[in-house]
Amino acid sequence: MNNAIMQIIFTFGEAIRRGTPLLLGTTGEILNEKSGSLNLGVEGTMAVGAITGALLGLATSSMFLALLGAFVGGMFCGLIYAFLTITLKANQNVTGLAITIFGSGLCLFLGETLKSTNKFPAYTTEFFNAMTSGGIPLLKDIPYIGTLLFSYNALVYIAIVIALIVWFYITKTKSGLRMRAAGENPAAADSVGINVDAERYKNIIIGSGIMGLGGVYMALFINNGLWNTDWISGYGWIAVALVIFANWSSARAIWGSYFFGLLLALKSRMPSLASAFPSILSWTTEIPTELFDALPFIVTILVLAISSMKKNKKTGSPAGLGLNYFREER
Amino acid sequence: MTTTNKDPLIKISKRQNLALGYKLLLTVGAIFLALAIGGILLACLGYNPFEFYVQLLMGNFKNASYLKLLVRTLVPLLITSLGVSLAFKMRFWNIGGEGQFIVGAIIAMTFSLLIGDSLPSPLGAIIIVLLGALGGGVYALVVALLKVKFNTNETLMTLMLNYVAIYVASYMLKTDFFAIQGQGVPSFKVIAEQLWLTEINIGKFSFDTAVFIAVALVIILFVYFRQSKQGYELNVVGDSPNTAKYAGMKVKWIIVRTMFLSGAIIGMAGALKLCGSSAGHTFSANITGGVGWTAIIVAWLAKLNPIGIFIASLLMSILERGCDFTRTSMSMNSAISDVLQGIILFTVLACDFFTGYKVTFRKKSKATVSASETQDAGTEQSDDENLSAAETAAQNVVKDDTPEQNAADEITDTSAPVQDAPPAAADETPPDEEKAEESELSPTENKQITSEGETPSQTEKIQSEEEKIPEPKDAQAEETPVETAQNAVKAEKTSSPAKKTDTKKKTPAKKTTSKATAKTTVAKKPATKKTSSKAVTSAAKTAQSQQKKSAANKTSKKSAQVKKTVKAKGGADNE
Repeated sequence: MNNAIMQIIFTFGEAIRRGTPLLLGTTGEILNEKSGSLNLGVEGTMAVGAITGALLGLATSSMFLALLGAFVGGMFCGLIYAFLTITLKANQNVTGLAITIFGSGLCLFLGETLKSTNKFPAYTTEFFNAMTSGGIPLLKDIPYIGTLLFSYNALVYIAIVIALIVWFYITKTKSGLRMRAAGENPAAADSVGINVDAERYKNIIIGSGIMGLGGVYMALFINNGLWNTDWISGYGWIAVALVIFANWSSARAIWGSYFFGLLLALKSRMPSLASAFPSILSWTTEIPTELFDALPFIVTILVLAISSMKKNKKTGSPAGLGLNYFREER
Repeated sequence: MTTTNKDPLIKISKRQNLALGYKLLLTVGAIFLALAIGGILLACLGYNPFEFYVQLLMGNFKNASYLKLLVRTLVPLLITSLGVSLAFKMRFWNIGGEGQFIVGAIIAMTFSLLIGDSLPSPLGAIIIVLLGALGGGVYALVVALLKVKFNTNETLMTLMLNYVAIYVASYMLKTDFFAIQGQGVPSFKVIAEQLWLTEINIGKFSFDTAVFIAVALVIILFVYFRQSKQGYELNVVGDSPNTAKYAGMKVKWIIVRTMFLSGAIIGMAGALKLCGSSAGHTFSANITGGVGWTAIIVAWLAKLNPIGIFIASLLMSILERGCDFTRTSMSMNSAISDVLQGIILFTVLACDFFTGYKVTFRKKSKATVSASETQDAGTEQSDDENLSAAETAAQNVVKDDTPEQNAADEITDTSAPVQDAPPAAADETPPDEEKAEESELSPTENKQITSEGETPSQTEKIQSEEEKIPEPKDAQAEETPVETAQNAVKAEKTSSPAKKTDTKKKTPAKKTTSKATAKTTVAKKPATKKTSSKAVTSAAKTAQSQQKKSAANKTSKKSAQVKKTVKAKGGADNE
């Protein structure tokens, strides 16, 4: 029985581990979308954040520099996106896809090139220990609950804090209101003196930086800092889906991310769970693992379809989402 | 109220017609700029960029077998891009090319295995390809139906459906029906030889019949967009669904039909690839090779012009093949192709701006607004442009004024919800996305429509309202009606506190109110009067009709219904 409980805890632990990059990506995307930009470049932005952050962090063995590198890498992508869509009024969908192609390609190219020349930096042991041995002291020693809630690395908690700060910023502060106005109805916002372009620039760049953090988490924790060609493996797209699932609220994104993380975790954890509870879960071994991969998207499709069918459309989706604003055309 | 004549340092305005040659020059320049940036990046990483670009061309045109590979890469990309462009033409964001391609291939694979070798050679392949097209079309149709029925966001929907298709495809490898399990790694079954596409050999060079289909599609779509009624409808729906509706087009049917065709063409590309030699006459989980994504870029690079799509997809294929070649010849990772694609797209998107917009810097001799305006008006032809240019000038002035600023402060201080916006909440963007997306349409695409005015739906509304309340067509006095309208609007706003509390969503009534106010604010600026009386007149007209309307609104709900019918009638008359 003890083993069974530990299996459940491990599964939830895996869910949180996998949910964290989703949470960071989603939070960043919410900042983008709430200010009116449907940024489809999450996957690419995360990839750039992953490669810049991981290279810097592994080379210097500094957690701080890893995060900084990832944030700056993400911001770089955000800057390209913002400049093209806001200043040069390029189409948002196409620009986002270009960011994804460019970012994923850059990550792959740099990683492969360094790997093939044996220059790819590896974890130093102390850095590895510092990264993985996380958790909140004392609290994590509580049996079961401690392991379940307080035993993760720092970035897990940083992600939650970031999500809460973003939620507070969007819903409770004045500048958050300005930013929402720019996303809901840019023409109206402009007419009351809000600088729509500045609002969008600011939120896109910061949001993309947060996505970059999600990328470095993928590189250093999910892939343990070992290079493989599929570092981000579609998490960026799941983040785009999660924004809808979370109804554009980063607070709701917290549990949404862990729920999606659970779906992803079940893929690898299902066999051990089934062996821990043979009587109830033995049928699950029949489920193809692809179903777990596809579940986040299927769930999102259902959420998207059902929420659009509702009579009272109380969605958090900004009205100006995906639309560029050109003052002369209002 | 003080008005300053100071222009912003950089002024951006819309440009209407730019010579085709000029556009091409800009695009080619952008591509070379991208290649230069890529070269610098390569040089930083220690590669010789000149050698790289030479190798890149070598990888495509060295000999016939490389050319054959190029054609094999090109065909699926070309067909998929054409399919995508069909949906893009009406501003329907079908980014589900990847999924529709896979579904087309899955359906084709399923029926190939069912049919086996029971059908003679060309007939079997034709049936399989048609079934694949049907599969892709139905997959896209689902999204279109949700869109017209519930206004579900098609961008996100098609995106999500891509992944469902991808995981279904990877699951297929585990089934006995599609794959040979046996010892070791399972592999997909090869379809019967009767279903293969005919291969045409010219020495070492060979290609299959899919090439003819691709070329035929380029021509068909070129004619379809330019000459057919349906192609024209696409333009109108893309530009303004309301215009299309008032003109008597069945917008929903057009969306459903076009989306089905778009998905069908993409699904056909999948089926053709399955039956062709490039995929080895069998299925694989990554059968698309990413064409669903690249196609979006190709279509956009080409401005949805079928001939342009051919050139752009050729360019992307050359890039892809060439980078694949450098992987062995320069021991370089082929991901550089993605990086270069991305950079090319960045520069082309950036140069698009200069074809669609004009950037003017502030003149050194403190030019007045009117001076710069008349100059603008001189260079451009249509009346509408005069109007919009004048409005810009007015808005520039508006920005410098203080009352709005105060309003802004008030709003933020009370931290009221966004929708509870001040009178100037100019909600001219209708709830659906189409209207604002108009802005992105390149000028050449919709010359027919631009002649109707800046926002057809809006002008029609005004017209219909004028029909309801007989009024002198032209506003004689400019100042007085505007001000009275303003007062009326204000009065209405205060007299309906219920509306204010009901802040959740913009009610239609509120929308019109705010619109009227926005126009009024434009009109009341003295600066505009001398620059373009047209703008003022139109604004005054709006205000006048709005004034009457606000009165009507107050009386009963019934009037709203009447208005609706009148509006529809007005629209029809207008056409």
